[in-house]
Amino acid sequence: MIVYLARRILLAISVLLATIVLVFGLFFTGPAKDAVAYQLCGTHCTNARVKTINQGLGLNEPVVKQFGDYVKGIVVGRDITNNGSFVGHCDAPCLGWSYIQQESATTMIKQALPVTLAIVFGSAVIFIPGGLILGVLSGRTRGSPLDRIIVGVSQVIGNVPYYAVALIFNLYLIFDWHILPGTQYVPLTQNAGKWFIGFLGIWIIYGLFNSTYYVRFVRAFMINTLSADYVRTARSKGISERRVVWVHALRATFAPYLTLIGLDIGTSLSGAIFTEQIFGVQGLGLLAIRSLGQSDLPVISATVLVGAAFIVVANLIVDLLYVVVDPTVKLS
Amino acid sequence: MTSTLAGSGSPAPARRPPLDPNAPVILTVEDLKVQFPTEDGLVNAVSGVSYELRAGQTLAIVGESGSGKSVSSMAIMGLHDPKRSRISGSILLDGQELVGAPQKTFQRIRSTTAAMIFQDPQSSLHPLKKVGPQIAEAYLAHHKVSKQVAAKRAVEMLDRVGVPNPDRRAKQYPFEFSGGMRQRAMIALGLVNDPKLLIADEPTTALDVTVQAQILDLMNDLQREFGSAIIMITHDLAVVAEIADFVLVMYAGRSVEHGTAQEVLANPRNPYTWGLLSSVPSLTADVGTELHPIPGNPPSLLNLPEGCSFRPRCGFSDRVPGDRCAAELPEFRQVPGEPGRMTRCHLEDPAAIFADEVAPTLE
Repeated sequence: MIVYLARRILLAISVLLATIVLVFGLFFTGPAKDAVAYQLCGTHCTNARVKTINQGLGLNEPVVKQFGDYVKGIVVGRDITNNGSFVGHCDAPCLGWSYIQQESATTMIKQALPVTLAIVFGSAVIFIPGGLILGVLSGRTRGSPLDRIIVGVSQVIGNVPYYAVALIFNLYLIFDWHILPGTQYVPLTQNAGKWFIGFLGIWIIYGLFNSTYYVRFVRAFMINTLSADYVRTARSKGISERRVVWVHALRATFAPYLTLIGLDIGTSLSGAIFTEQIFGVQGLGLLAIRSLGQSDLPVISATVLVGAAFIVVANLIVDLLYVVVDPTVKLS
Repeated sequence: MTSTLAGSGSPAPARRPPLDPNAPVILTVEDLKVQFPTEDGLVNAVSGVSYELRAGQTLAIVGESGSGKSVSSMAIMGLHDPKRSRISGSILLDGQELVGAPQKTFQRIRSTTAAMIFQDPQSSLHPLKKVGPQIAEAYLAHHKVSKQVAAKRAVEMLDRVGVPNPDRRAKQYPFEFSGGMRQRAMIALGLVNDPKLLIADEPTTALDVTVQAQILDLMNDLQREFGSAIIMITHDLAVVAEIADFVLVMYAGRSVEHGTAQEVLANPRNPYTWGLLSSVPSLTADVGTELHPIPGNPPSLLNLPEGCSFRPRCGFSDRVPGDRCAAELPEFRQVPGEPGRMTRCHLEDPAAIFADEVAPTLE
């Protein structure tokens, strides 16, 4: 078990390292490498001016030295200089320096991250059990009115683009009818109650929308499982039908459900652009979009790196949990 | 096993204790019908099965795939979804009528009065639950005891069915068991509540031949110890010779022949049974001896042919005067002059036809 754990963690770390190399290569050695200079020199930019700026920022140094600085920044932090004069200090882990915002990309991500984390994990509290429970109910009563309602509603909601659903939801339930409180971001440390109320609407719509997908997955899986031989065996023991469904059949759904949810959460953590835009909270998604609009290369690369890290970590957690959920997984 | 069966015509069932004709009747099935409504129409999976089974006796139900052997037995356990099946006739299990009984009744009798062992032990045990608790769960469902007591009972049962190191094995998962050990665990699960009737649905089909014999021996031993009645569903006539007291042959959802195992295997009275025996390979026959498969295929259960279901494949229907085989479904009736033998056939003297024409080809 410990060997397995160590190997999985080592693997995750090496994937992260490879991602760092890839992100650096993509953004700082490719055709995009002059983006920062163009951004700083404004209109009527000449090649000579770009060259001067790059020289000042140290962006014309050999790639290996630049990469060394980049990695050093991630590990211990670094000073940012322009033409030898001090611009600012980028604390470790320094994922880049935004010359436009005069700020470390890490700081910007740190500000946006609590919003994204709250959106994803808060709604997960709704969609993880929601998808499971509705999916089981629907699957075990296949063909019944209940099943038809659950499948019908989840099909209708799930097949409309999310931004439309979220927009309509926001417009009617929050603005027009005041059924749910308005959404805003108040830091948890500042006022937990306002934080909760501010996110409530987001959690409900994001959670419900995501459930529609998981409901259909769990339903299909349940229908399959309920006709499995071992479910028939369970039934032939004389235990209650409730126990057959919620203990025996559901047990088999855990492993695949966990994989699906884990990987989805990993992906979602790189930012929920539509949610943040529609409900007016600033998370990683809006940060990435704004940086893209400004061609703020160091920040874009930082959000890519953070997104990749979330996926790697989610994968790692899923793999480790799998060992607990599915005893047939071999630890080697 | 196979050689005694098809080779000599005198396949005395091995190692069976003498029958007690006064043992109490455990199960009476009468004119059982099971239908499944589908989009294509009504599937007549079972269209008339009758038999009786006494304590300590073993009945083998034999037939091709789709002959209704499993479906009729699962009806005893109430394992057909009531919304997707129609069941009629009568199943009297230990004095209780089960056709039309509510799920609560089935929950009570499952595992205690009737238990079932399934074909593939690989898929019939929950892959993600430990073996011991799977057995203990059945005991807990019917006894007001602590989990520890039930767990101990599970270990005892594993020990009883010949699983070595039962203490350790109980804490393992099914994937850590071999096929034979898994089937032993299934049998332990089946017997944990000491049921009066054990239904075994092709329990050896998925197993190695050497393991098959072990499992059959085990079932014979356990029956002597527990005194259960056993229904053995199989298409393997060697299994029948090994374990059965009585044989019920099924075709297209109907019982077509019934009698003691010895009589049915040695002197079958129904052309379908003759066909079954002719298609069994013999170890004593010369190399190159041809097998005689039954020509054609079983009829569609969606629309059974008029008259005898076996007629389209039967080589003897021209011996019946008129067109009776095509027009009239034969009754399941006693063979003239042979009490205890039942057959569903219009032939006047099947004994003579078998002796003169069929038996010689079985040599």
